[in-house]
Amino acid sequence: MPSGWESQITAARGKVLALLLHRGIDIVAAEDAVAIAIVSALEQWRSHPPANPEAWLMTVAWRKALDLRRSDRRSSPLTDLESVAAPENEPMLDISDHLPDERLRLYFLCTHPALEPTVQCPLMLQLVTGMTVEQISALYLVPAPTMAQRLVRAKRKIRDAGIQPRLPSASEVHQRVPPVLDALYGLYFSEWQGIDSPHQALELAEILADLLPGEAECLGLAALISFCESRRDARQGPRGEFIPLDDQDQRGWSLREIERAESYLERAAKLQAMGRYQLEAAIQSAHTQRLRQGSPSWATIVRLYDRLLMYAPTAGFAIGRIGAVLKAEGPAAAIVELDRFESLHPEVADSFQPCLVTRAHCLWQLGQFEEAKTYARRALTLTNSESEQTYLRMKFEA
Amino acid sequence: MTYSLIFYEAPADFQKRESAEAGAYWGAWSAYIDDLSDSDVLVRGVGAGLQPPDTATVVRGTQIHDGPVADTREQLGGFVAINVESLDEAIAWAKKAPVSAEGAVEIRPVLSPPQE
Repeated sequence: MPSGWESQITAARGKVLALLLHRGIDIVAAEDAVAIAIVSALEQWRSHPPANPEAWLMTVAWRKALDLRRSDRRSSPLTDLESVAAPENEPMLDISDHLPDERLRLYFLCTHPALEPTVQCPLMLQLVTGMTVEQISALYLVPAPTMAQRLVRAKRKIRDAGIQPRLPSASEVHQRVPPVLDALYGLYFSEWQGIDSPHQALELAEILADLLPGEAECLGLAALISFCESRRDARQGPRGEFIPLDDQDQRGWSLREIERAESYLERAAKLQAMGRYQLEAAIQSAHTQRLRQGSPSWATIVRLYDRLLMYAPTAGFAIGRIGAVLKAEGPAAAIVELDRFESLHPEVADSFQPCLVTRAHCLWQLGQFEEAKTYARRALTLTNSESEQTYLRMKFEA
Repeated sequence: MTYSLIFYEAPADFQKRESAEAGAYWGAWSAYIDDLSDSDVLVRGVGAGLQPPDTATVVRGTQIHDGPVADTREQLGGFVAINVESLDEAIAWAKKAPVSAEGAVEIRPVLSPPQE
């Protein structure tokens, strides 16, 4: 089977599921129907390639859902589907007309406040991208059986408590948006191979920004992801190694994406409701100053990190800030900050990879090459990303 | 779907029933029930307000003792059943209930009768 189909299946998955829900199929049955349709696709497309893969999946899933409904009438409390039963040789169901709203409904369904908060993002990842329980549990550092149980319970609650897939009303939007943004952010930055999750996340973030132009953080997230996407080609070197932002060849940046990102960020700023995604995007924007002035203002970036840390005091951002301090004030100042960070967070000091890498950079710049290598080697053992490992080996000759 | 809205009230709410605020308290509840009824979501013949928890008796196995079942601050004050399309609509009705900030409303889907 051509490899392109697998990504098409993954991309279509969320759309098909959302439409089944829209047609009154309950979440548990809809997920089963989609799974069966995908298995059939994998079997049949080899010999009979479909003209329109999305429509094929939708048609087969819909038929399967109706079959499931007929064989188990007790689980059909919502609507009577008999009247819309699919005839034989029906035309393929074209699903492009119903987007993008249907998929967003699915997102808001997964992040309904009646569901336990810790299950909301995992549920989105499972239903929208088809990630397996094993992959999701690895991402959230939760044992797989625990995650599986949470997901099953959430889906049963959606079905049995009658939580409907719908867009929130104007008065609820502000409250309902943050978990959706968090999930899209997680989707974009998850290092999960096998689906084009960055592309899905960007597409959905843009849809969300279009539908909710009054939500500053929606625009902020669309800006952030657009900035990151603009550098996609420049992020990887010829040997597949990761290239940090500051070492990237800016000729590889997509000016079109950067422009889009800037326009999202400007629209967000006009709404005067600052938040973490806008600040993260603003840091990205500050980096693009290189295009105009040769180098970004590192002092500005440090200040932006200070503000970001007020909204999202994470270890990752704290180290990001120290990386900017290294550029703005030099390695000695950065080491002082690293020491302070480690004394405040002794539990992560030895095991947090960005912390070790930043210290290696500081020591390298101070000419303490052997010490730098020691830290780089320890950092090597803490990442599974091949591109990062290659980068560390090349940079520090580790 | 049919949902039960189960109203939990705080001791202060139960006390209102007998206090100078009794008029306002009962007035708010009857306005709420009228609203449910006028909107045609109320399932008639189901639901009741309950006497305060100090009137409760618990039967557990063969043992009988002074109740209520759970020794919590909020206690069951009454319940209704409503017919609405979705949990979101049930939540909207729950928010309108004249339960104080110390109380709470639990929403539970009602078991549907077995189908033929």
